[in-house]
Amino acid sequence: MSAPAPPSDGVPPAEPGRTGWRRFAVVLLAALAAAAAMAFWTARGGVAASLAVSGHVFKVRADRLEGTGFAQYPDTAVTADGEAHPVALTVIDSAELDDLCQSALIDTPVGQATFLVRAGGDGRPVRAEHMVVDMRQLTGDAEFGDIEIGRDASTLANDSGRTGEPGGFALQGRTVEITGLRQRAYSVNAGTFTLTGLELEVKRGDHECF
Amino acid sequence: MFLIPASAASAAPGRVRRGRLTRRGRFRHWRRSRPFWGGLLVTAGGAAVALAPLAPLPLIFQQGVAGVSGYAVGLLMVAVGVLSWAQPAQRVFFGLTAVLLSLFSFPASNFGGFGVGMLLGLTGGALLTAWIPGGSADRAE
Repeated sequence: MSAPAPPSDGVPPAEPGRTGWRRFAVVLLAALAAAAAMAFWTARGGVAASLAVSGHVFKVRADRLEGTGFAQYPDTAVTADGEAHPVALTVIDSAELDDLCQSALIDTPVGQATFLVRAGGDGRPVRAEHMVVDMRQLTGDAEFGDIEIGRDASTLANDSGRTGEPGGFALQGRTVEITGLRQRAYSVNAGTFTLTGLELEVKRGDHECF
Repeated sequence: MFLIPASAASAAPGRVRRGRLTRRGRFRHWRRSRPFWGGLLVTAGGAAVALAPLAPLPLIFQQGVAGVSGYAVGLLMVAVGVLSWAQPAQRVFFGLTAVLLSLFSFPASNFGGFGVGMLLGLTGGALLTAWIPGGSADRAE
């Protein structure tokens, strides 16, 4: 009765493959342990994470931003829906941020959710290298060192190699310090983002940083 | 498949006379003869990692290696998931590769597609590694 069906018409016996659950558990537990270690070291500042989020306007708040190699010029950002938006393209070669909060409202099949990242508390700032921001709005108290306002946008010099159109308006500073930073942006890209004390949360509803 | 008694397996729906298979039966045969779910989870995880960075492509290319690696890791995961269906014999290699790529996606791209892509990839990779083909000697394990 239970004998396997003999192969016929060139079809191999349909004996199903199966999963060795013990091996599955071993591999998965090892992998999860490695993932937990990575998340832990990212939070400790040992692993730099790369962040590239966009498509919607999202909010960034930080108590203090201190950076070198600052440049800014008007540009357009094309969002996922194909629409072009005017932005202040902002480049900071190297930045440190205290008490960073970054939030984005996402539409999910179960309603609105907030994607929330917090890091850089307890006097251990977040470090970002080669940061490029498509900025829509920025508020805060800013102090620039060696600022050149009205520099031609095509002559900007920064590590990310971002320049604008010849004849375009731009400003460039050697250093920048912004306290009480609040920013709305279409995208933030950083070559490396070292997130100390990382807390990553996806919450239902609107829990934006400001 | 647990609902059908073993003795009735040969008369299960999908099988018709003269040993030929219906379309559904062929799909089931195809699905059972390779690590289907592992490959599917890895492919879905790769898609999640690749789709998470919605930043405009020119901006990502501007970032160089760091910006592109998010897409690269996601697309490699998709490739590994699909290849594991095409070449079930290489399942351990594909499974471990999927696990390592998923781990790498955490620092490389938005925490591995906000964690979702990484967890799908890790689970799928473990499933790939642990898959045992039907009728093989490993069955006695």
